[in-house]
Amino acid sequence: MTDITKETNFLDRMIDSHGPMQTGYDRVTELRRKAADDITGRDLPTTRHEEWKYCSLKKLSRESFIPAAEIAQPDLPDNIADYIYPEAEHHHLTFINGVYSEKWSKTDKLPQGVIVANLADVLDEGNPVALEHIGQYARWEDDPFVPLNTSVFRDGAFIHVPASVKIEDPIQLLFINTDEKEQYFMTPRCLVVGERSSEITVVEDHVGFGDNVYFNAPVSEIKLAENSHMTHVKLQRDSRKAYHISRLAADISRDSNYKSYAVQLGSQLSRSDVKAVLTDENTHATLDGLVMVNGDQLSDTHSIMDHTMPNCTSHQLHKCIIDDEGTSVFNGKIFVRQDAQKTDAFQENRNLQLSDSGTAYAKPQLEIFADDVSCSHGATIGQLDPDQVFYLKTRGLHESQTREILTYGFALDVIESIPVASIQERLSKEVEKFTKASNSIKQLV
Amino acid sequence: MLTIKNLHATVEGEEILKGINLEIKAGEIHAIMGPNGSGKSTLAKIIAGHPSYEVTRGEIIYEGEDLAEMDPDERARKGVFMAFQYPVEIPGVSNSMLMRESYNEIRKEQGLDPLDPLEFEDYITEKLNLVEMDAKFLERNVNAGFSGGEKKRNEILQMAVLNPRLSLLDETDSGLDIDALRIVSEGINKLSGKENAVMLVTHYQRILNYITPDYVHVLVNGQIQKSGGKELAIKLEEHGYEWVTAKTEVNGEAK
Repeated sequence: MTDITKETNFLDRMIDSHGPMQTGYDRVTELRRKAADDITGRDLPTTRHEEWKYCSLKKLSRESFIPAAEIAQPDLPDNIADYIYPEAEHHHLTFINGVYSEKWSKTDKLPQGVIVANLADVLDEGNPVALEHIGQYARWEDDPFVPLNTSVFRDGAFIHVPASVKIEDPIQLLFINTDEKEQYFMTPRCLVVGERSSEITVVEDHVGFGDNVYFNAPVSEIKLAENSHMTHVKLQRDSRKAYHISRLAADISRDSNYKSYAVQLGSQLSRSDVKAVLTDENTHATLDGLVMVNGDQLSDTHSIMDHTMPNCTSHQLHKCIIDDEGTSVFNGKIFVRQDAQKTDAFQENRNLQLSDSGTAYAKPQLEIFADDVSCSHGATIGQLDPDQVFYLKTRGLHESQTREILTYGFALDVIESIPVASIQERLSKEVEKFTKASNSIKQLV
Repeated sequence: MLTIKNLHATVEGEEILKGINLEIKAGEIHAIMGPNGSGKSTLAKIIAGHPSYEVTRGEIIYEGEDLAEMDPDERARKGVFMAFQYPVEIPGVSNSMLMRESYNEIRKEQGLDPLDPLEFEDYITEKLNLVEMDAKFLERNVNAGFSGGEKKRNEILQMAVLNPRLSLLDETDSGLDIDALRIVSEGINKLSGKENAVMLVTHYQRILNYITPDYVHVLVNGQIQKSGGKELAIKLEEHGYEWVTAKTEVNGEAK
């Protein structure tokens, strides 16, 4: 029983609520112990912390959550199958409130040797690849959320693609979060390892079914060996009252190409830290993003693009659409280390404000230690173009149609780069829903 | 169809139109000519409802209703169309999708059922011939990557599709080569009839070799200084706009 007279901080409460974790292989036990030690007695960062300047966790720190796995009979909707993208019909893993659901998962028609499985099972079985890579890449300075996940995670996805294997269709990881009275929290964990010359597309989809408060703290780690390719799409459409704090780290080897497209639509507070480390020559990384916030939503993306070796390229197009009192934050760090000559790095953050009361913070941050590089960055904040609005109106289109068309046009280049047709369709519907929900009193013209 | 009475308008506090009177009836083509900065484009934009301009005095009555009370989209649905001097690029929307949505909005206003994409395809195919445009333009994003001439033809294509009562053509001829000018003019001629009217804003007399106006008005310094038939345009071509300003400095009253 918790002694209420004893003041405990948020992180301790989260870890304590789980009770002692079952011991498994030494490597995992050690990892968990270290992670728990890291954050025991620590407070959540405050807005005095530079990395959290515009993203206050005060409200979160006052909430109480039970581990999601304790909800014995989640209030499951009957249309789960509708959330499987047709392209991922044959291979998808479904997690309900963070717990792996065999019933809703399928791993047919995978090439020989490919593993797509629940991470907890794989670690319990002692899969050497999973044991080797888990916890190797998701590392941030001064960060409590990776350790929080590491200390208590159970289920999640493990994907291993052997050398020279290409998986044509995307693999979907569907995280369904149900509408419950209890406030729950979960720590899904994903580990993707692509061996030499492999090729894969992974779709990570977090869906909230209700309007309830919960806390989703996923961590994903990606390891790409030489000459491999991965496209990673993440859709965050958690409940509008949820907290979503995620970490994504990719470690990219020579001649490899990692492309990440992260779309943030849900949650009252979403914070996404993404990191790509280009560890060797001729690697390419894309960290694109699309954020839509309205009501009083806040979405904060902090990215690190770390160029360590010569002749690498990186691409970051981060677009935010802000309506009502919404807030978007983007902090994009690009490191070009001393050895990373001939780096070509591109970063652009564009913000579209549909209301007078929304807020956008943009902070590009370049730290360049090599002398022969090409780095470009830009940040813009603007409204819909009045000339375009007037043009469409003279064609008889209503205010709402005009807003929708132009908002979609703004988001389009990110949406179009996502190579899964049904996600593109999904997103065009999300833009429609977003623009229709507008309470903004601001007249376009 | 359109009656403009003593129209005064300002942009950012500066008066651009200083008392315009103009009457356009169904079946007529009016050419509005004038030197640069005379206010002729402003007149078209104000009728279309451009938000940057403020009507300070006078009124614009269209089909018995005061246009100043209407948003630009409402005017459009009631049959007012403007071909832009500088057509705007709209990323993310194909030309055909925009035209279908527009046309269906106008049909709704008229109490007609919207056309589905297949029906619309049939409908637009015949319109394409009118401006000698290839069907591939329909799938491209609105005006994106179009040449100047293509943009202007696209405006006339939209006019053909939307079948407006009153068309305001804002310098549709400027910058066109002779071939494009001929195509655009022929399109406009085919589209004008007894039921609709055209207000053609132009700086050059050249387009009037192809389109015969019923009236020519010369706008100088925010007022119509002179009105007449098509012969007025020829005179202007010979003598220049100075001829009008010199002659009617005292008071220009349009009839």
